Amino acid sequence: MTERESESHPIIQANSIDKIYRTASDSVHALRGVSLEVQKGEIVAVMGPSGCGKTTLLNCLSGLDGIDTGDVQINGQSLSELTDDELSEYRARSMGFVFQTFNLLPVLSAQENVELPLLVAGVSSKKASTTALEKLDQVGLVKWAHHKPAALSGGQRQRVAVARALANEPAIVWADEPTGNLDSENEQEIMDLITQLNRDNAQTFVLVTHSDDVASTARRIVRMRDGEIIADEQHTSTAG
Amino acid sequence: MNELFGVIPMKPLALGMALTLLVVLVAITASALRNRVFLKLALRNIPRRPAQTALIVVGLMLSTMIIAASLGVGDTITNSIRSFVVVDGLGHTDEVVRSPTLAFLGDDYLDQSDLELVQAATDGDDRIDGVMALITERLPITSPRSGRTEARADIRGFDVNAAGWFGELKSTDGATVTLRELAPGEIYVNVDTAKNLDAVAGDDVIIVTPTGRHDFVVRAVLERGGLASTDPRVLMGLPEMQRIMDRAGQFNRVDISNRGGVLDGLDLSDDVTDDLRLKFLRPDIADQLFDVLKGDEIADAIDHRLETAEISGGLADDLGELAGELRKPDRSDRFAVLMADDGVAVAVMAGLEEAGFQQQAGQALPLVLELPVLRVTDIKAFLVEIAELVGTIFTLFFMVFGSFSIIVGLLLIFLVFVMLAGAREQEMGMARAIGTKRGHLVRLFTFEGSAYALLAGLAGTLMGIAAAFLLVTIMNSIFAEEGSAFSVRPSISTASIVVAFCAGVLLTLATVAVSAYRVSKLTIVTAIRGLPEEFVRPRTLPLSRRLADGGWALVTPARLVYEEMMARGWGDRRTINRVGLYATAIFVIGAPIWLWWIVRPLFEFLPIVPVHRVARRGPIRLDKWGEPRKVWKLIVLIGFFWAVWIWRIVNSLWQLVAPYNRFGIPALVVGLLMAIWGINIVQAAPWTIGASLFLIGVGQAVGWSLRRSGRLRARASQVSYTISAGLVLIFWSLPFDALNWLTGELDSNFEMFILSGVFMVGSAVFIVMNNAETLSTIFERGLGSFGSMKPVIRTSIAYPLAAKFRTGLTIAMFSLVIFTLIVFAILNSIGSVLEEEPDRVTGGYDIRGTTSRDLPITDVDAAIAASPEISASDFEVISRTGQIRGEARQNDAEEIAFKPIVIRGLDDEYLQTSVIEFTHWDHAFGATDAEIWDALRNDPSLAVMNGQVITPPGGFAGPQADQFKVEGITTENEEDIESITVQIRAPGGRGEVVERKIIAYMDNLANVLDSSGEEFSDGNAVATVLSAAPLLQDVAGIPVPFTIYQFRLTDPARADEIAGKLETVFLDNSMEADSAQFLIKQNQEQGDAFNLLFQGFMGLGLLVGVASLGVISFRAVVERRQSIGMMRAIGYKGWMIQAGFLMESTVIALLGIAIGIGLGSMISYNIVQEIGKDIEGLKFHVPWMNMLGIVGIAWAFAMITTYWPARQASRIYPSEALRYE
Ligand SMILES: Nc1ncnc2c1ncn2[C@@H]1O[C@H](COP(=O)(O)OP(=O)(O)O)[C@@H](O)[C@H]1O
Ligand SMILES: [Mg+2]
Repeated sequence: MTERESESHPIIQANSIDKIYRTASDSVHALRGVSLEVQKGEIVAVMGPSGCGKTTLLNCLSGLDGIDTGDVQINGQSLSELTDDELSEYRARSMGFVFQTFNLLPVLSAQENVELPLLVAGVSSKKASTTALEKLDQVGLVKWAHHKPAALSGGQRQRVAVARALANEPAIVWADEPTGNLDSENEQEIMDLITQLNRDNAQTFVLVTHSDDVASTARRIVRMRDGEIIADEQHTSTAG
Repeated sequence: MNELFGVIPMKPLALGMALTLLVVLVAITASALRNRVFLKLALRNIPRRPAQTALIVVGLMLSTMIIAASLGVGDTITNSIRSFVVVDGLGHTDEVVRSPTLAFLGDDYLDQSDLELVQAATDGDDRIDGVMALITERLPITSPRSGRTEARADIRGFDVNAAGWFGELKSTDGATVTLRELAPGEIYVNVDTAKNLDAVAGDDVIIVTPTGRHDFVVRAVLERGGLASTDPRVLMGLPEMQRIMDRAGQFNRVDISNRGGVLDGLDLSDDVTDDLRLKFLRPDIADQLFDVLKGDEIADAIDHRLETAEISGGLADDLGELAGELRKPDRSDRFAVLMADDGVAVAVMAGLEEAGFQQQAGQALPLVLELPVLRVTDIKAFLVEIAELVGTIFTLFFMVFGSFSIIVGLLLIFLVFVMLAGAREQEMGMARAIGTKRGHLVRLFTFEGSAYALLAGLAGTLMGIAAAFLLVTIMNSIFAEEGSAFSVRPSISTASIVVAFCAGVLLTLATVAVSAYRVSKLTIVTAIRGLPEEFVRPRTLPLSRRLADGGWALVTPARLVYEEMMARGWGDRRTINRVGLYATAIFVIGAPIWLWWIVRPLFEFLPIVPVHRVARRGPIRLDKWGEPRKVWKLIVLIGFFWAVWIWRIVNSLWQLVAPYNRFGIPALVVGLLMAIWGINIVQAAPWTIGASLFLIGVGQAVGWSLRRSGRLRARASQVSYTISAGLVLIFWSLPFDALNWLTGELDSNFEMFILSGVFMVGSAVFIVMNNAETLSTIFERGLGSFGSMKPVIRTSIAYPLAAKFRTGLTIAMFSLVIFTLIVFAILNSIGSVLEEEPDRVTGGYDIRGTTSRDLPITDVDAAIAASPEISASDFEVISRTGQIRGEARQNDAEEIAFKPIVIRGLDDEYLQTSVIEFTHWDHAFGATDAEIWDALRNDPSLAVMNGQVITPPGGFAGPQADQFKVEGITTENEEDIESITVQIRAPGGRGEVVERKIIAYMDNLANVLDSSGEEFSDGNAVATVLSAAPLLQDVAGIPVPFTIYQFRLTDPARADEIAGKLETVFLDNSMEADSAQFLIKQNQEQGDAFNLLFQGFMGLGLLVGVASLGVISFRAVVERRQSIGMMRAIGYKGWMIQAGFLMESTVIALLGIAIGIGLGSMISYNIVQEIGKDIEGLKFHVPWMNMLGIVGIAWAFAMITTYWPARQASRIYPSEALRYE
């Protein structure tokens, strides 16, 4: 154990972070001294009742949102030291996102949606196009490459979203209730996809979920309540 | 301004619109009170988002603003001219009495017996409070001290005893002075004279009269206004004036002041004038005249002329009345009074000649001349009408050119409501899903829309007035000469305010209704899933059902009565049934009658902007629309109740034919009928609209056959739309005369400019939006190599192209405005031909000097030789021209009436040296321009005319009934033409008829500058006959002096200097001289200034386009919040989001600008080709700098409005945006 740890320091490291939302009338203490370490190649499921701060945690860890106290390091780099532009750059190169509501651009085709992060990362149009088709192939949607999101089913849209999140082979993929809008069949498909990709590319997944089935796919489950982590369980049983 | 476009009376219009609006608002309010919950829900949205509300109001108000601005400009101009000309210029004088004799035929002075006649006629008349004899002459005055002169001061001698009734005189030091105080040898001058002479009180001045030079002392300088007027004026007592003019006991005018203030007098003017005319005519002559004219035949001839000669307004009323009088057995006083009116008499004489009553015309003419003892003119009413007319023309101009902006503003209103509906869509879909009735949604939407409409109407009216005042103030600073008395007095009438407000609110409400209708069609599924509407196929009802619906629509009113009674439980079933039956019967029988009643005036009204009539009608009164009866029809026509009915009928008709629309049949049939109708009534507008509809039908038919044959199935609609729009675009891009072989020459006017803009831009935008995918690929390829901009470019092309409707609308807005600006800029640059080839205008002379006819130069050379300032060696050529008015008609032509012309007699010098060119000439008389001039010199029976008398075949210069035009020769003719002969006589048919052979027609540019500084400043369209000098005396019967002197200098560079010296040397002849270069420059500068002003006005339209970009961008920020959050999450930087938004606006704006420039240049090219037929050497020339400026400003504005929403978008915090549901 100790040997492994010294070899690779955690890809995500949060030290007692606090997040307080302040509105005109009151403030919500959404995260209270949360500390968390995630190793490269892990799949971590974050679970907890609605409103306990899961999304907030994900946003704070990925740098989409700022924190009030504490420190978040990704690959040893403290996020608070980066400017907004550098953070964007960082997201473009080494992070992927999957959202509950898919969030595809309705005016672009499936393929163009997947190409988008590649283009942002500065990949040439040609390369972006072939990579996008590859990724769509991985999620089984090459045939739909030229369809607009409106013409796809929910499960298909989410698969496009996964393809987009994985397009530039990010080190970390953040997924906030990726299967929240899907039925169990589609949910299983997406989760199979994620585990497969994790196995093939050793990418790190942090996913928020309400579903025990989804959580069971992960080797590690972090449970939250009222902005605090109340349990951090490793499931070696399902691994392998 | 009393009439909109010179035809629609403003007050009844305002009243009608206000009533209509009131009815609509009452209906909405009633509905609101019955549905208070919805009202609350609807109004809740308004204060909740103040920024959005403000934006919506701004978007909605722009059309109103432009309408209000146009009306405000018209009112201000009317008011300014009125106060300048009437209040300050005329003062208390309401009518003037003069000798009936025209000046060049003899003595026009009156004597004591005439004055006694006037006094007898006015004594004891309580409508008249002042009668004053006076002499008025335009004479030179000079100040020896300053050495300055005023060549044509208005020098007046007043009867000092009567002058008190004509207002107070104020000296510049504030004291009230009277004419009585003046000692012999003393005068007052007003500030304008004082300024031009650089004179102060106490100065000695010299006035030059035909009797010689007279010394005076300036007693005081007077403020402007009343007797002291607004132009350079000199005031003295009548005896002094009689002395210097050598007119003892005589005068040449009697001024009459009506009771009341300066403007109150107007109300009495008609009556007083008629009464005085009756008193000042010879009854026995009137009897004789009546005997010559009475009877149905001539009355019919007059009626006929009324219809054919496009006479309108007061003159038309008078002629109609006269025809009535002629049908009576006995002569009435009214007949005599009407015939004593110059305008009426001239029109009657023309009518007689035209209808072949030559003998009667011959008998009547001397009688008409003898009829009045004294001539009475209602001068104030006349000038007020001119003021009205000018205001009307300005309003018309601004309204016509502003109509694009108004259309664009309406598109914007529609856009705003479409987006508002979009914003409420999901909310509404949910409401529908949980069981809200469709009608409720419509109401909800209507209430909210009405609130916005009212707010916007108010804001738009206020802003429009502000814009108008700003515009006229700028205009004033551009046009006002230094120290001029004319100043702009901003004003707007209540009627204009009401019309602008009501028009704005009603138009907005109409758009609300259309949008609400769309909302009502919203199905639950489309709303919730956000599907585009194409996914929902409309059901086609069977034909029998559609026919039945049509029948129902016809009896809508009866049905409404029936339903209302049922709902309220008024009466039992039987009564209701019976009432319903009666109502139905009444309406079934009444509808056709009512329709006929309604449709007929509508057709009279159809050429909505009868510009030609307005421009040509001269100072005349109410048109036919003045009759209140017809105005009420108009009110009824646009009334709410009937509107519903018409809507139902139209809608059911549409439902009836809609299924056939797939084959293009309705468009083909309606288009064909309309086109044929247009050709039949010789109007270009219906022909072009019909042809366009037909071409659209062709496209639809192609689409249908494609679909049927199964080819291109997926793209059938795209192909058919593109074909429709493409055909329409090609049709409108053809040169104006391309289809003349088919249609003949059609009448056209400003409305064609509006139509061509709308059709060309509309079809071009349609083509672009229909082929957007192809275009976007091209764009992306072209722009693709910008590295980190790549993803930005992709989304900023994809987004606008995905929202075809709003993008198309915005592109159309931009194109329309740019289109107008480009056309105007290109047409304005045409004037530069003057600068390039000045000789074609100046005839090769460097200075043009005009003198007074009463103070002719006897010997130019001697005067120059005698003067120390200039010498004969300064001049290469001195040519002389004399000029009088006359009438002419062509021998053996269809038109047999004499038309007014200007007659010029040229001296040998001119004929030998002029380099004015001819466009058409009879080669029998010479091969070159010089030979033609020489022919004129050798043979006084030859003459030439100006180019404007040859009509172009159709096109932009419409036929003008009251102007002399040559028959048998058009501008299309080869240069070599046959000579014609014209008969020429003095105005009013006095004197001998003289014949001249017209052998050539001058270049159209030749008389461009004629209006500057000359007696007959009618502009350059008046027909002119030029011949050797003898023509003048032949026509006038008396010697006519030369009054126009044109000088060619040995050193042209000294033109300005020598022009100034000439004015001094020929002071005694009242010479005004200017260098030709100066006149040309002035001409061009005025054009440029007007162009600038116009572009400023069109800038308002640009504002609309820009506002719509703003609306779209703001809306996009809201709509795309989540997407933006996602884009930020995948690594878009803040500036990339911002750049994306700016890029989107750029794509839209540049597409619009490109289309506008392309089409604008195309139509300008056609226009220039058309005008080029008249003016040789006209080149199509693109004013690049001006154009670049327009593009730059348009684009910059687009960027500025998008900047704010773009920045907002870039600041969206990703974690927040993603949370947004
Ligand atoms: N922008 C915000 N402003 C105020 N409170 C917020 C905001 N975002 C989240 N919260 C609050 O923070 C808490 C945690 O929210 P969230 O992380 O979305 O929970 P979860 O994802 O576990 O459902 C909740 O109480 C929520 O109301
Ligand atoms: Mg959440």
